[in-house]
Amino acid sequence: MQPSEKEQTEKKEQTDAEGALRLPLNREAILSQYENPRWNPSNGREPEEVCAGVEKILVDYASLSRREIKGKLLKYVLSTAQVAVCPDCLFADAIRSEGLIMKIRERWRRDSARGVLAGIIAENENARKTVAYHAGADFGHIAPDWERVLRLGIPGLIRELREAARSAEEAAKPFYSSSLDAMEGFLSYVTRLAETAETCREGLSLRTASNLRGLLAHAPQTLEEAIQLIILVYRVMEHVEGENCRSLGRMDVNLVPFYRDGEEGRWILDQMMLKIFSFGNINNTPFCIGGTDREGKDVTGLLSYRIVEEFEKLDIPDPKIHVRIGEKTPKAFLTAVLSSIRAGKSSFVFVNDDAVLGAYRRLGVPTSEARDYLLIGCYEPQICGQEAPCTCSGKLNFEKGVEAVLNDGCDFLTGLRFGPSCGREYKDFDSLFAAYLAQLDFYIDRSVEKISATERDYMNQNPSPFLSSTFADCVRDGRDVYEGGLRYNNSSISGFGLATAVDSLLAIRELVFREKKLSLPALTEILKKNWEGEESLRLTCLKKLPKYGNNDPDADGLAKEIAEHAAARVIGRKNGRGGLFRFALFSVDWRIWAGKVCGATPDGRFAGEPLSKNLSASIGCDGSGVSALIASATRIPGDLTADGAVLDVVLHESAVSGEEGLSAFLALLETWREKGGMAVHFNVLSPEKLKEAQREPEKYKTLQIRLCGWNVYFVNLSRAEQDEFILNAGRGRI
Amino acid sequence: MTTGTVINIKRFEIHDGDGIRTTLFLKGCPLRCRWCHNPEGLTREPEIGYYAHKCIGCGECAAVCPTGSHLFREGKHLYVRESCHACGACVKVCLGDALVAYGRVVTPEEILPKLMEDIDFFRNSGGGVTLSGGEPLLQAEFSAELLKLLKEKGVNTAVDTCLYAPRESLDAVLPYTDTFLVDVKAMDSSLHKELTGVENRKILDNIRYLDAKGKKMEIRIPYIPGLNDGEMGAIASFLAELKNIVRVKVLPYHDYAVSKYESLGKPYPTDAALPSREECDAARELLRRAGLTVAPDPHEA
Repeated sequence: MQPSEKEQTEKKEQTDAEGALRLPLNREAILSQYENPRWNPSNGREPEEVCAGVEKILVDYASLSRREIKGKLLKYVLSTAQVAVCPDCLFADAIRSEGLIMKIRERWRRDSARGVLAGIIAENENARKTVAYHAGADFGHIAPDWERVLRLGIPGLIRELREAARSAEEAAKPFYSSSLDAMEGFLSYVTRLAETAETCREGLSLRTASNLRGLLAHAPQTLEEAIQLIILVYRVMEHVEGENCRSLGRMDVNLVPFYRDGEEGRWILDQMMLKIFSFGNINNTPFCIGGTDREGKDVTGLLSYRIVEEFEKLDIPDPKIHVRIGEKTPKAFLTAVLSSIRAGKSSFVFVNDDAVLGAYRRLGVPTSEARDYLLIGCYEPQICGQEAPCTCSGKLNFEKGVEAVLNDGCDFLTGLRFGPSCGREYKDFDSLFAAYLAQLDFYIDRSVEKISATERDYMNQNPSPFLSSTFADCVRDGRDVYEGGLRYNNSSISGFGLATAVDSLLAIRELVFREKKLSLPALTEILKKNWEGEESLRLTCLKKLPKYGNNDPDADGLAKEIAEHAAARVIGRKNGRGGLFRFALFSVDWRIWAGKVCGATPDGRFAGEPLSKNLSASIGCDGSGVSALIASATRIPGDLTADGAVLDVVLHESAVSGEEGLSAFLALLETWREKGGMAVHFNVLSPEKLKEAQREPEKYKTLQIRLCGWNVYFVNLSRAEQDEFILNAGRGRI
Repeated sequence: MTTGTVINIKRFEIHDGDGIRTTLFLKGCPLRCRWCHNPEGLTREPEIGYYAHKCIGCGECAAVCPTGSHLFREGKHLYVRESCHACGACVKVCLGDALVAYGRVVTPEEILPKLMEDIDFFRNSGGGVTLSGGEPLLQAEFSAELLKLLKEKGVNTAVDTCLYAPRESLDAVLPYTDTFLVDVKAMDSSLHKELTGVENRKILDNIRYLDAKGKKMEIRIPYIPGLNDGEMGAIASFLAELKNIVRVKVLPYHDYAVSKYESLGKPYPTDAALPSREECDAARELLRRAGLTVAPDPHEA
């Protein structure tokens, strides 16, 4: 549909008024738009009033199911909470929902925790406190079906709900009524944003209003309408309904039908990326580019390049950009991304299609379906529109098994029992290692049990009338995402601290069983005293013993054995929503807070220090360099980890400088991919520059660092985190 | 059995020939360049480097030293180089990374697997193995055997050499070397002797010989203000006559090796100033004008 004459006139007036600033990009205003929004009082109510209305709904509809109540809440909040429009930003979405519905969910979660789940929570309480394993709900880490959302638009989503409702069986009726309630709220929200933009009449607001009106009438027809719709759905899902919307989709694939290259097209991309950064999500808000279609044809195109170029130009650390790569990815595209990373834009992560498809095959997903995947959050695959991956339902601490075998299943620091009793002495390393694996089995079994129990109660805690409306499967069958409404209703457990555990077991093997330098109980006592008075022994453990991450087949083999053992215990187990468990190897920032409550470890680590990161070697223990680290990490098969596994690579600037450096960087990436790695991200740093940034943070405000799964400004890190990067940057020096 | 004395291996090296390379450093050099940044490569005999600022005073070295060369006086570590046989026992136990072994004796077969570890990276980048030093041609028999083994495995090879070597040595490695990385330091022979301890006739003859044989050469010109900066024009004229120069690199003098000299108990051999970026770029321009392919400053992205 063409814009009406009136709309065209309005746009023209606006552009004439802007003069040279026809495509304004007021960076500061866009980035600070949520700090002090101009809430519109004329078509929305004050927060206190909305809050009271929410409480009234809980009372009035107390007899309905939680899903129906949630539908009523969504309709009410989306129709009443004040909205705001930032005239400098092309895209509107602000709503004063105040996290009200998430607070209700928190109440419901507590009800369950005190009621039906109280027993299983208590059983696993020591494991939670000591961070041996964490298992529970994951409300989110999912993306809606972006392709369907953009294809149908708001009217289409509602139409398909209504059509399915007409032929629905009685039992499914509440599904449709609550999802239609949510959609009614969504219509009101978009309408009120349009009204607000129309009355604002400043900056870009009329253009925004026209996009919003368009979306109320039809599926998106232009680039800016498509992006506006993505942002609206994100906002409602993430901030009103309250699921972590952890990907804005395969951005190049989804936007390519709308994109017209040129100054304006690029400007719209700029507006989009600044908007995403302005969300202020500390873990970044990601989207995906590259990869293949369902037939296996590479999708990289002009828009993929443009996104990389505009992102580099904007010099912002967020959005986080997932780059899918495979054999057919053009070298020129990889070089463009690597060049951007080398220029300090560390927000990119590469994900290897072959590894992901292999991992999905292990789960029984046909390759033709799996090829259309995106990445959730940091690097966790989700099949677009068909899978609820719940990528963070379980966390498994590999280190804790070491404490357990030395201390009869109990915590070093608190004495709490978190694992089965296993004694403290072993006749040889093999029996100690068997006891270690048995500990992991116990943690995994308990995690599976607890996650599944929690999931069986999901509909009491977190039904999702809005999110479910985006999925064809849910709408067809009248089943919520969180009651198994998708084709693949999976859950995930991620192991972390792998290198710390491997190096610790190696230290025990060398010192206690091979060199017989000291007895196992003696070592345990030293560790419980946090190496006090034993600095020489600690340094020997830290520096003189074999370490994972140096292409040592023996050390890496142990890592592989542990990972494969845990993966086999996790993969394919049934969860509480009719789906399966997936396995992962990433640590995000858990390694820091988990490390704080972990005792000293035989690898030379002090109590309280962070555990090893993702697939990396222990801090400072990858002295053989990046090629050895890649060889080590890729010994762990990529197809174990349908839920992701990432390697952090720190390169010194000099290692990739100049034209030959860029070619070497490309060869490094290609070799990693051929070796079957799953995900990799890079920081190109020099310790000198980082030290300078520590001294003079003002000068290095935009220096980016890829942290563990997300990207930040270096100067915003804690001193300890900064120091760790400086150490690693020094290690990467050639 | 042929053996060689090697110092260490560097992996993921991108400035020692084509692609991603693994570089093996051999010990011993016939030259004594005043700007040398690899002083551990000068003598053939193994040596121990001692970095005093890293010593944590643990005393492990004194406990294992067979010659009593590590002393602790009032908690202070004293290393007596004169009595040390450089057996390396102390290095194995040093907990502060203060002691470093420079030089160990290996056979080509022993060292080969370590050099092959990055073969996949070589393949994707057109890289391979580089022998450097020290001076690989000073251990020609070892170098030739090792290069032969590498070529049998299909690995691209490069030799980083000063070419101050007898023709037999050069002929020994020639069939197994894909690229020579050759230093040209000065054209004036008496200046060359002053700066490096030897005259340059043999070197220039060897360069012409390689050129006549059609061997690929990358020429590296160290640029040291006040020492050889006046030689650039003459070097350019010499190189312009050759046919097989694939590229020329100007390597600005740096003083990163100061602490390495200290660790070896050797005086730092020069007080030359660091060259400016502009000086080096001017030298590059001069060489370019002579029709040579000159690599840009490696730090230019």
